[in-house]
Amino acid sequence: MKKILNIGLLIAFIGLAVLFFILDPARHNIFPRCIFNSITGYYCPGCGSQRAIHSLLYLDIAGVVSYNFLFIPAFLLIIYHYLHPILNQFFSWKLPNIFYFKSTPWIIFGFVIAFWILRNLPFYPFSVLAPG
Amino acid sequence: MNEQQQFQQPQTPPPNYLVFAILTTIFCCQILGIVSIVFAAQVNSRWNSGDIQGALDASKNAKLWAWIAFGSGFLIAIVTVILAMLGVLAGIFGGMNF
Repeated sequence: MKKILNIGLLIAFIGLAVLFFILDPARHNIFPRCIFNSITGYYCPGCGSQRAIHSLLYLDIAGVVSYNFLFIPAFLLIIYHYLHPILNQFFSWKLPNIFYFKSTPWIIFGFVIAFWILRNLPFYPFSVLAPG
Repeated sequence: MNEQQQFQQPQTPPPNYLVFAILTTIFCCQILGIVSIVFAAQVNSRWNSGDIQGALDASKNAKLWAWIAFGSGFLIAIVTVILAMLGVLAGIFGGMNF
């Protein structure tokens, strides 16, 4: 059962990747818009992520960074999450699970809140953080 | 510091769902995802201070809020796709003169 679920998730994931590869969220409006941005007009920490996925699939790293500055750090953290048990097993390393350090969630919390505020400031250099 | 904690508590802490929370925060539902990050922080700090029951409760809440965030994002995505499809249909039928 769990195997079927995982295969289903993998198919859904590949399907979404294909969709984000073919269609550009900057130009097609079938992609969901951010509710926070629609209501308040301000950017949230996730704004630009869909365009960033599109850029990432074209390996346009500069585009990814300009759409969402936190996208690549978050992406790397998630890769670490899945990779570190595998590395530990294969090479018998002792990489710690950084997500269980006492301060990790608070550091991430701080970054997200700071990013949320800073990317809405309309002047340089913070205006660079706004998507697009 | 971490080694000392592991020496005192050989068990592993309950899952804090931090990765799930980051995913939902950066990819859709910031506010709900941030609630989940705060609960993840509580899992780690309560576990480190020996409050195992508190850590378990925070773990449950972290999971709950991450799923609420994911669910709301999923719902928004579905509604958007339906609205977009209706918009396309309206465009097709709107162009017809009956």
